[in-house]
Amino acid sequence: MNSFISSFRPLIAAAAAIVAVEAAVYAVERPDFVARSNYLDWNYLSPEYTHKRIVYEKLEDFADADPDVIQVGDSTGLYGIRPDAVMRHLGGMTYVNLSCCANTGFDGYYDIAKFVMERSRSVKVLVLYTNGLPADSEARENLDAGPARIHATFASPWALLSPPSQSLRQAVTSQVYALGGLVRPVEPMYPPGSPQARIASTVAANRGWFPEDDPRISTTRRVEVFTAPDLCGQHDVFTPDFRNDHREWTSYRRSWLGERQFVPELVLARFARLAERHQARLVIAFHPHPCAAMDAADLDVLRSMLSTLTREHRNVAIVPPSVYEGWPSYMFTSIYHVRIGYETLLSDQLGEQLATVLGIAPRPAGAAASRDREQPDVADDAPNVLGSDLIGHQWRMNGLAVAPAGSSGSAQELAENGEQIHVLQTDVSNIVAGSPYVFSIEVKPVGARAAVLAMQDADSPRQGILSCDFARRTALRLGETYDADIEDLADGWHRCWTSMVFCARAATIRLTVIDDQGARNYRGDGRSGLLVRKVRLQAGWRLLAADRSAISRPPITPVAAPCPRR
Amino acid sequence: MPQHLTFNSFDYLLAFLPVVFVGYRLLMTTRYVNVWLCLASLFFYATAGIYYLVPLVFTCVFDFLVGQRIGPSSAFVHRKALFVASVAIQIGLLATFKYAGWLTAESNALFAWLGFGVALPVLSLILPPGISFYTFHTISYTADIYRGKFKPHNSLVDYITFVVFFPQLVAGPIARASDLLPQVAAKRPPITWPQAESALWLIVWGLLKKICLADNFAHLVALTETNIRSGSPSAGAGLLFAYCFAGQIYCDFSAYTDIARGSARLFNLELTRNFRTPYFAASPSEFWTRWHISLSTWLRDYLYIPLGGDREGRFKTLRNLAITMFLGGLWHGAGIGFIAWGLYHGALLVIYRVGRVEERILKVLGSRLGKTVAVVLFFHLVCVGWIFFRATANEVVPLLESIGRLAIGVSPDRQFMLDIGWGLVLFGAPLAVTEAAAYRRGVEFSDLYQDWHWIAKAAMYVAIFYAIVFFGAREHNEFIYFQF
Repeated sequence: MNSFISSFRPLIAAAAAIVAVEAAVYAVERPDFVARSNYLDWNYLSPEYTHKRIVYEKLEDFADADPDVIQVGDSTGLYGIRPDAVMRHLGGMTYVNLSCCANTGFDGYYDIAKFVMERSRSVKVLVLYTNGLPADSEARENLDAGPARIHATFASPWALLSPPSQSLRQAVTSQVYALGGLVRPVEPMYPPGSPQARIASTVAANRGWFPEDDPRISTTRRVEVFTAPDLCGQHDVFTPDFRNDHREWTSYRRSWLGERQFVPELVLARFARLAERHQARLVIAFHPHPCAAMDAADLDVLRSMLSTLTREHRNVAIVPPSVYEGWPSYMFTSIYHVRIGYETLLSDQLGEQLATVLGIAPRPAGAAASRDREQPDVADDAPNVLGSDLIGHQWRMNGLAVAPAGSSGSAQELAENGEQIHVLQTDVSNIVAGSPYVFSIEVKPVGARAAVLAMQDADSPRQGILSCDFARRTALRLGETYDADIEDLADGWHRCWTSMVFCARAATIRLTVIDDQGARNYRGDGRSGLLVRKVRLQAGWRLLAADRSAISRPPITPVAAPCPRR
Repeated sequence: MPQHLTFNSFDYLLAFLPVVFVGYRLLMTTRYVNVWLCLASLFFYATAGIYYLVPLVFTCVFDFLVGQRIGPSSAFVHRKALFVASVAIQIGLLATFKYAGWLTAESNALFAWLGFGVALPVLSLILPPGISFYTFHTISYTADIYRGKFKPHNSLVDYITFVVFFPQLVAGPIARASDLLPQVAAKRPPITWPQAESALWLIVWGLLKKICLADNFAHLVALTETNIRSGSPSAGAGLLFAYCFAGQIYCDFSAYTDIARGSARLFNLELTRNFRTPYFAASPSEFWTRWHISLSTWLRDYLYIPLGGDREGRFKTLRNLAITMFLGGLWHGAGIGFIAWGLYHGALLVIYRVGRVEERILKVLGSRLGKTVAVVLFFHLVCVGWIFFRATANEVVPLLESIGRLAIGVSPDRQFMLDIGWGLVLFGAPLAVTEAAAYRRGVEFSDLYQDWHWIAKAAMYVAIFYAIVFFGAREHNEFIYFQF
């Protein structure tokens, strides 16, 4: 037999077998490019990074959806821009939010945009929505599962070699890694009620927008954070991170010829050329800042660079025209993210700006009232569904004893005993299903203790949780909460509240005492606990700050996920 | 400049290697063939950083010139002086890059502990990839010339090609000039189809070991580390850590060697074998004939034997073993862990020699059972050594302690043991089965391929393809031996 054939017969036979298997898989499963990509790891005993799930779901849902406008960028856009609000201003154009997270990097945003624009030839506008500019530290290898991975999976020519059977990876590995359920339960792609399922359903239902769920920081801590030198400083002026501590420009690199190049300019020009190749416009949209102003010299440099960009690339527009826009800091949860409830305001603004850039007639004045049609804040005189501000006989207790504190009768002491879990809970039955409620409590810790507030639909695992850490002055929310806050009051008191839409007509309200390490299961010392007062459950989306001396704030426009069908 | 080329990347497998091969085939009857290989190898290396070419080229040219001077000289003193100068400079360069930062930092810590108000400036130099390997390539050249075993080569291009040949430049096998340089310099015939087939098989087998086994073992190691760092590690976590790392380092390193040998074979160059079922060794001396063979034989020929080997009495033999293993550990890197690992293996060599451990086991238990017990015992001793090699200073004691707790009957965390244990079985079973099959034949598993029926070969390729598709780790880990 010919030496070539006898030597390569096994490889040829194997290749033929593989082609046959892949053809069969493709015929049966018809996986799209994203489903058969290498993007998700499915490694043994390893959950995926949240940002990868978000990117995956967005590309899976929208890469082939033929939108007119796509938005890429960091989490300012992920949380801040609701496509349905933007689309109201675009005269029928469709808009998709593909923004994710800063650790995908500008290279990652670029590759996502490129991938979608090559598949959806309908894209007319590329919106690069960002808080900052690419700095010199955009090293691919420094970002976990970041731009290098996106490039390898979606933009590299080798990505075309992804076989259809890769779409079955999750199904195969979940069975094998769990040994069919003998070692641990087999986990489906979207376990019911899981964060993965929530990501998938939320992204699909909102054209890519995802509600912000940042930790909350207390009022005093907020002042420390926002007035720190690396944010607004004492003069409420923002200095961008393309300067180092010595006020020297850092965002430069040298070309092969030794020419000094400004990195942001190179990166943005690359986006402009991408849009040009697809006969699309590029709109660079800058997210508002919590600082009143930007350093004037830096702003001049930025405007000059953007002016050069728009001169050299006629398809580029910048919004807002001023480049920098300061919003009140209370509208932000961190230096980047606009607080839940204000995303509609932000989206409407972006919609108006895009309409101006694209020459679309503005909406009639009456139609602009998308911003508030209901009063979302809890009224001062809203009834307490719990019946009393005090913890009474209707509450069931474990590991805690309740006693009056002080002489005024308005506060109570929750003293822990030697048991392991310290919780009190009550059931409420006069809930309006589909309506939001705020669970709030004023607390003063005794000893190193913190509190967890929880609200749960009756006969359902659906719940919202807020963990209030008084020492660190932060509150972390989980589950189905809409909004939350932690406030510092006088005399060492704090107020914690969280809101949720109840989907049942009855609910369970729970307050758990935890130790300063966040452990729920600990042996009480018999001395520590919480002082509590004004324990309330009231209809509404949000509780206005106790300190009303702050500037009156625009109302929020709440958008929450619909209740699941029973 | 593309990102740093690695064997387990499409850029290497589907772009670089085919392009170099095609260029090689077109030029192989001309005198430019080694120029092509040399330039391709330098390009491969430069993708890690073009500035790394400086120490590499210096090392090559310097030792080439020294070899040219030593060769014709008949004066022993002159030859020795040149050789010693060459070794001092090459080892000095290696030591500066590898140990200067660590030594100055450790010295400063010692001075502070002793209360001296002295602080040396800490050098922090980035280690050029492969410097430990290519330095040993060039030392073997000057050493063999000095000892009269090899004549200096006249072609600088051939010599540089030998040193920088891309399959073995960054992580071995450590090539001897006397083995590889004549192959490089010779006019080589085109490879035959069976050679090409065997080359591709080696590459494919190496990819499976790296992507499916080594990188998944690495992930298991990371999971056990998380358990150890949790503050309440499970009893026995250290044992699982050691097993998983034993799997990782063997699969990772042998995979690199397989891909290197397969790649080299495409150019009709045979690299030395580096492994032969090492975990079936029954004693330390046998282990070092099966593990990282190119390094152990290099150390034997250029360090142990010149020190006197086993020719000068028992005490000096044991001393020479200890020194060789200490330096072997130090070669791996600047760190107490590597030194401890080297000394540990030196101690094992001494103990096994003095105590005649293997002989006693065989005598007591008979040849069959005794051999099995000796192999299992020594495998576990090797695993303990891997703890020193891999764990951080803060992890060593908790790891060993967790093994101790298991030994005295403390119950382990059931779910943790189940989780890691099943992973170990999943990724370890293919390794165990293939290694056992190879051990029985006294070869590496990849050598058995030539005897299979073509249908079995085809089935193996299909199985490897789908193993990589479904179970291959997606985030690529760097090959472990790159850091040395």
